[in-house]
Amino acid sequence: MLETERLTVHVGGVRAIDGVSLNISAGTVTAVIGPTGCGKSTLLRTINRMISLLPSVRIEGDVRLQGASIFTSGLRVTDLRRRVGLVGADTALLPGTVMDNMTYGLRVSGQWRTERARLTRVEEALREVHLWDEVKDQLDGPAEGLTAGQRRRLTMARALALGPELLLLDDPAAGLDPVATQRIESLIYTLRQRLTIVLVTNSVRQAARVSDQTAFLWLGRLVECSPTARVFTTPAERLTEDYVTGRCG
Amino acid sequence: MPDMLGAAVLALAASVAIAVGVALTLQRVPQGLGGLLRRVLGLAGTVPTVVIAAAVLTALSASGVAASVGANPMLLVVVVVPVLTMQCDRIFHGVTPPLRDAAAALGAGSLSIALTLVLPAALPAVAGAALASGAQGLGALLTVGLLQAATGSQPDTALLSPGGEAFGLGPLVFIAGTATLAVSTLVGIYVEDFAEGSSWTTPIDLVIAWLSALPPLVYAVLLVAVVTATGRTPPDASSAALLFALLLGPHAAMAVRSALATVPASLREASRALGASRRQTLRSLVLPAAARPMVRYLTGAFTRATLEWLPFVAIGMAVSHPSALPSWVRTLGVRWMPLPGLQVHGLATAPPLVMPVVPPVIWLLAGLSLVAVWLRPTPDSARERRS
Repeated sequence: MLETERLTVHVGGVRAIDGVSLNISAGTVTAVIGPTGCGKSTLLRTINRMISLLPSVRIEGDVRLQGASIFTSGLRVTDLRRRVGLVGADTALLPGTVMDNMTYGLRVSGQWRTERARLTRVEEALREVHLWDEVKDQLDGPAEGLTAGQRRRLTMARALALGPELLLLDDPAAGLDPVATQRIESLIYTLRQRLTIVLVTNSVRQAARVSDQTAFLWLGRLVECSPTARVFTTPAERLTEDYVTGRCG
Repeated sequence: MPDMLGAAVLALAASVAIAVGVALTLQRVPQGLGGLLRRVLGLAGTVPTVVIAAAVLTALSASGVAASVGANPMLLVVVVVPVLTMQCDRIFHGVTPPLRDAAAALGAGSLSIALTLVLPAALPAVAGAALASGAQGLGALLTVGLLQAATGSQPDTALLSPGGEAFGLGPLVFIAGTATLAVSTLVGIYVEDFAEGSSWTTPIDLVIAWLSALPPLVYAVLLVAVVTATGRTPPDASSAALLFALLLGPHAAMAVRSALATVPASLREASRALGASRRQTLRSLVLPAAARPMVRYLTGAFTRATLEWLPFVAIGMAVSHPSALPSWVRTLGVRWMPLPGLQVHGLATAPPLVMPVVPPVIWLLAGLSLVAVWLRPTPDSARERRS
């Protein structure tokens, strides 16, 4: 589904990612863990090329989605970003209503041209994140009126409405209370049945709970990428063991 | 000249001291009173320095006080302080709340926070603002001085008469203003939303900021020099229109940039993450979100450019052909003072050319400034907190 091959990313002259090679299978949840500043978010933003919005970025190596390089000149980056959704804790709500947020991506994509088709798509996406019942009566209300947990799920629904093949989640439960966190995690568990998910998280326990495989980054390098059970029980690297057990990082 | 320079430097130093003192005090006054004072300062700071200079010279001449910078450095202080105080207040307010909170959590009082944290952090910006305000103030005083000279001693026509032959000025100014607004808007949008990462960004940034900080007198003198060098003596209506465009352009570009900058980067990023292109993001998200501040800031830019431009037209008209005034005055819907009585000399009669003589335009522009200031978000508004 997704492969990175000796991926190196320089941001502003600093090597944020250093020769990372990953292989992510379809229909799995891959957790990326590591201390702050180790390149987790940079890796996600490289996969859907949001990284190129930053000035002074240089990328070496390759990222292949369904076997095709995402850096191919013929590939439209806007199409890539619809196929590879990115949702983070700091993803902003757009100005306007819940409906405005949900239909924005659909409108700019030029697909789902009719109002009816859009509404159907919106309802499907909101149901998928278990938000429909909570907001169906306030679709025309301001999105900023939602709770933090609802906002987070709204940003996920907004991305899901575009029908992505791959969903990148950048610490989606950051700053949420345990109940809202549990909802997000159960949502990830549900979505894995039809989507491939890459989850960046600062919570080692969350990675253990929801992911199929775990990649551990340290100072921009990939230390280990194995099935989650193995990473948390018999890691191949001493550094991984120290990190997941809390002895370092 | 050295006397004047020395006096100007002293006056500027005094202005900085007063402005910084007032702005630092403002940081410590309660929210409600502070907001009111800021609105008053905002209103005063929006009035172009040339208008303040004209008003001050009028008052001084009426009371018989010597009214030149060399003879009375307080002139520059009075002209510069309102603008500089407003800028200092904004600069100080730009020192982020987390820094202040951190200092307060460490037990610092508001005075020591202001002196040990806010002032050092803001010092370079305050210095820049002081220099710019000083240049603007001096330029304004010289402009009004030229206006006095124009009405009092018939100086060289070629140097002082952009707009002297001013038939058809209204349409020309309209065309120049519209074209300038269009170009400036495009430049502002390009620099703010399309030029990131380009090697041209920084030079364009610098040039726009520099052009907008130049005193209008510089534009006028350079323009007259260029026009007369090309053999068109005296400068005509098209020169006056071009001067208006030159004064408006940088202000308008800065206004557009400022308006676009009110849209948080996170919104643009969210839009791009949803597959929108840069243009789609601009069209469907950034421009609608920035429309209100853009109208507000452009109104301010237009008002400022017009108020800066009027004295030069007045100089040109007074110097070259007073009898030609009615044609363009009628075009703009402006009343002039009794034309046969334009043969006036001395200080007391000069300022009326700038202010009371054109009451409809002045009041309209003053009203627009007031609206622009009233609509402008205060630094602690919800919009900026969200940003």
